[in-house]
Amino acid sequence: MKINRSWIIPLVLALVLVGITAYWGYDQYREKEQLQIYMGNTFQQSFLELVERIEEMEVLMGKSLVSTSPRKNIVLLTDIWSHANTAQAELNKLPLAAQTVYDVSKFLSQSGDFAHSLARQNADGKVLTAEERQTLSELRQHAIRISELLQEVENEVLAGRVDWVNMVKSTRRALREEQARDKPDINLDDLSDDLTKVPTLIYDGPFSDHINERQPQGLKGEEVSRETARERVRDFIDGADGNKFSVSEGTTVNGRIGAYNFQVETGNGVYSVDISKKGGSLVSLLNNREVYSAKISMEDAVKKAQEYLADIDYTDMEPTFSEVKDNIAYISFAYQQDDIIFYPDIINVQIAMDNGQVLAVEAQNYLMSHKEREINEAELSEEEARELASSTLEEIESVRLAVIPTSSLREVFTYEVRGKVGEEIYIIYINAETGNEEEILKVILSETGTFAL
Amino acid sequence: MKRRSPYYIVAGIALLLIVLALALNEPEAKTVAQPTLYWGSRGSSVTLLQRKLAAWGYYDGRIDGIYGSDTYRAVLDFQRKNRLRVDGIVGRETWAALGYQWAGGGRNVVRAATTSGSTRSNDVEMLARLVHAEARAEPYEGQVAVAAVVLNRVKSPSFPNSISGVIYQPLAFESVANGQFNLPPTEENYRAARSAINGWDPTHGALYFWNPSKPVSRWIWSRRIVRRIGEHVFGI
Repeated sequence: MKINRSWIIPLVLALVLVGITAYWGYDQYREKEQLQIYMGNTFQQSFLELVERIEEMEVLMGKSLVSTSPRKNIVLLTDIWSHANTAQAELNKLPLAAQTVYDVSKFLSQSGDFAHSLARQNADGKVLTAEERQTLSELRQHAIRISELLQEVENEVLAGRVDWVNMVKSTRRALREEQARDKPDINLDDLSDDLTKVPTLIYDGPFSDHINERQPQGLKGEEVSRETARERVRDFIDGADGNKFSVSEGTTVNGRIGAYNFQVETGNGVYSVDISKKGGSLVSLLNNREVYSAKISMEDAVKKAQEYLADIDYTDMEPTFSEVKDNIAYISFAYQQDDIIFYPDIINVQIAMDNGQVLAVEAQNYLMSHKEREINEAELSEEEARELASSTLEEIESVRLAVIPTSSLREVFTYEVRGKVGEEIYIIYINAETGNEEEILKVILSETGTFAL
Repeated sequence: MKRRSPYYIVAGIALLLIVLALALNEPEAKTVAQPTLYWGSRGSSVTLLQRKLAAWGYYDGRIDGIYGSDTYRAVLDFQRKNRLRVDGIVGRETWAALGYQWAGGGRNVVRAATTSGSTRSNDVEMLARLVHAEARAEPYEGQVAVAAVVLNRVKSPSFPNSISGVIYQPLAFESVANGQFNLPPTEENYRAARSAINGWDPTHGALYFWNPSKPVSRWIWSRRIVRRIGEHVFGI
């Protein structure tokens, strides 16, 4: 009897395929599992690093408080800064919602930054004041508290009760859903409550609380109504041809500089224009029309921008920097008075290189910082500044007086010395009162940009 | 044997499923900005070029990542058909016609620190990608605003202190978590990123933006709202 064996081949084939599929599925599962372990380890490492760095900070703060030598203290304070920076960076790598880490993150940035400012102060030969020591001591108490809370979490983590990968999912859900999370995996809320009691920190550094609390100083004149501002829009629009011009009713902008926003449709693109409530000055202007191949030169563009600024009452603005990208000139202006250039008072302008139209203006920096200033005669003569800089610069190209903003937006009166070392161009800012070196810039030129400093 | 064995069908379906699964599993070519290519160029960008030209019927040679005579002819053909300059050089226009962003020739100027920010070109690239991923359907101003929020966060003590730190902060941006961030930005996105880096900030210092028509955590509404641009609300 002949047996029909035709089913054998398909059966074997099917079994092989099932086998392959099963193997493939298992392989995928393994791969996923390994990636999850890898992810979990990365998070875990960040967390452990964070705990360690905060402990270090706390110990160093203690040492700094008992240190009697400013020289030793510089090292201690710089170490605090370094540990705080790392702790902050590691904290922000954890899969936690922004609102959870917000306060701790701020605490770490500020205490590091504060310690750094104290170190700079020590370097200038000034010892810590009683008040500064008090602040440092308070910050230390907070660091101890955070450290304790984190150690509790660390025990959970080391006991394997924290699943980092799952936390990604649950935090993500919490961010999307309306209701708050029932049971957070890591409870940093206690920390946040504790940190609301951290004193406001005002010191000479970029994260000092005074930076956020700044008020605009450059606004002049009376409060204007939305209608008045709306009527003024046309003055700020360059090259609005007659055939099309319509201005929106306007909305309110609730920022540091109270303003109205108008959308303006013209034959030359749509503008968004912000006009300040106080004084009705131009805060910013933005147009994104397509720009075609360049027909005007950079000199023309700079001249055009300068005239435009003078027309809208931003007078005495000197070009300091320019760059062309995709047929748009980006030009930076700074306020100049009595041959002194004021770098805090900056206005940026974009010019379309196809027809010279002013495409965009940003005057927020200027409006925040511009004010009547009393500048004393420089203690240092230009010759002295030149001589100080010439010890390192091989060839000095120019020297002029400039007021520059520090990282904490303090204004410093300096000599700006521009010179060369080999092919490299540097700008050194020398304090016009003390002769100290305040800032060093390296200038890099490329085909797309030139400095007009 | 007339009747087709059902096993063949089962086997066929299984095979199809496997092929499909493997195809889906194949990692997608990263769509980053592409460099200028010409005769003699090698590498993954050339592979991408060849694959694209092959898919559109211009190229039937080997996809080997080497720009040789076959690739050259295919590029000339492609440029002729698309009314581009016929020079065999794959630069900005040709990449654009192929649907990719050109990486550009020179590097940007690194500006002096007296003016705010820096224009390191990878900063522009990262911001432009985030703008594309988070706000490509938004008006230009809304795009500048998203880039400005990133820069405002860099300056804030409560957020990471670098652009990459802010962008890659876990769960900070949905588009980074789901990979949209890796898509190539458009010219407009680059322009928006460049404006933000040069100091434009339509949000007047905002640290958050959200789309009110989508579910968001209640906490976010406790922020002070500066303004609304397009679909996004910006708050401090």
